[in-house]
Amino acid sequence: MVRLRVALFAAALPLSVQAQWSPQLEGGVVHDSNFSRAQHAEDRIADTAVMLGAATERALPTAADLIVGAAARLARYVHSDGASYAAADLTGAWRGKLGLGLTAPWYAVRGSAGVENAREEVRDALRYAFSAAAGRRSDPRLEGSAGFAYDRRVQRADLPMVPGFGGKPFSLQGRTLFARASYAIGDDVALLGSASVRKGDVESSTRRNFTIFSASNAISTDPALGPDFIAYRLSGARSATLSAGVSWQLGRHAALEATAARADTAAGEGLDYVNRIYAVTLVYRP
Amino acid sequence: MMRVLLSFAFAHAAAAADLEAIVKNPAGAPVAEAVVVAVPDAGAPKTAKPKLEQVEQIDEEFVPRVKAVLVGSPVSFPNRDSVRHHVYSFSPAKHFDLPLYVGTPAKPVIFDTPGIVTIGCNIHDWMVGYIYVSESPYYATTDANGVARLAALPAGGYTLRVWHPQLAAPEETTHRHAEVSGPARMEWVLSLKPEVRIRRAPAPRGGGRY
Repeated sequence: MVRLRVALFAAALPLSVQAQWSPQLEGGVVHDSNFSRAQHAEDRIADTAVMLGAATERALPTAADLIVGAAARLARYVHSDGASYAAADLTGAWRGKLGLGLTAPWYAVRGSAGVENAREEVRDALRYAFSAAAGRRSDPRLEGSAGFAYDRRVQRADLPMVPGFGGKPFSLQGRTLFARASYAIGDDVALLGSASVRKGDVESSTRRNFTIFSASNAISTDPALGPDFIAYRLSGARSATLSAGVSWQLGRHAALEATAARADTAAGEGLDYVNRIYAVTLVYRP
Repeated sequence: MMRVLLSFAFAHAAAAADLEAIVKNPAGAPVAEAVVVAVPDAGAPKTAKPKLEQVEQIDEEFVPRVKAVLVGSPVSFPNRDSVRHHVYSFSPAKHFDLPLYVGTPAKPVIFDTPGIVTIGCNIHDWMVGYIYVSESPYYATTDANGVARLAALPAGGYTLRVWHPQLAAPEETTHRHAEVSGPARMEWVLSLKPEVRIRRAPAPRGGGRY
């Protein structure tokens, strides 16, 4: 009887409310030339992670432009296994177009909240993110967008190491301005490019170092990178990132994307570091 | 370049005859999704009645991608996907807008002006389809072998033409006149423009760094 009532209720719903969840699966490899985000060569640790992710989203029945979703992600680092983590997020988005047609400008506002559990407790965190972007496709080949993003990461455990300093070096927040573009060079291949500038907190892990010690405002151990590594939080850092990539469409439902990025971070007091990040990701959307 | 070959396989005084239209590209490969229309010299018969047609959305594509209909035909746009579609057109021959929906919209859209109507989905930009609204009831669309069959053409004179979404030259350049009195075969060789389709590749959602 209950099933019958549910079926009758579903049949009575307006057509617009019957849309289903849209899942997406992805897996890939990410290599970071400076996973420790360290200035000096002796502290730099390169590492590679294998990533697996699954996400799903759907439009709200009552408001077509409002999207809700959930995502889960696993990352396993080859060398720094303590940094390997599992994460889950809930997302909400408001997105749409200002008009009809493929060249109509679009907007997207997105927020997410999630939890990240790493093998090492110091890296466990709650994560929040917000972004607002607008873009436009000028023709079938070229699309550009720009926007603003805010990210906040709250370290769950307070693990002070030095009296007078906070024990949450992985509690970070920052604001980012970004611009992205893609250009299709054929039916299946597109070139990708992006540039961004982020201002905010960064975490840098090094061996004992007085310069970074004096510039930091939270310190804790970072056993994921080694027994003698210390995590420092530096505020007011500016990171400029340039990224280029290529995306291959594999049939109707999958794509293989390869990107290379360089991020230059200046944290003040001469504390600069560079990351070169390479990623290959296979995405499948049934 | 456009070339027409006309041959009559049989020549007899039948009241109605089938016409087989073959459309190829200059390399000799068959051209699918080409619409072949035959307009009687005496004008389109008034007796032809439009019927309900449909263009489905399956796996986030329009099926069929090219649909020929008689002017005045109502066309429904059933969404067979689990995601919503927003079908629209702002072609001169028909403006319409079916805001986000799943299932089949209650009212079909009536295509009351001859011409070419390009349809799209405002959510999935790669979804593009074409509705060819014909003033004549004698039309057909080529299959994968580049063959279209116009069945039971009354004997008489016709102006025939071919249209394809990537047709390089104006449709008028394909016009040919033929007297149909029995089963016949016509061949067009069409130059087509390269097609630029929007990619539908999914993008990684990515993980966060810090």
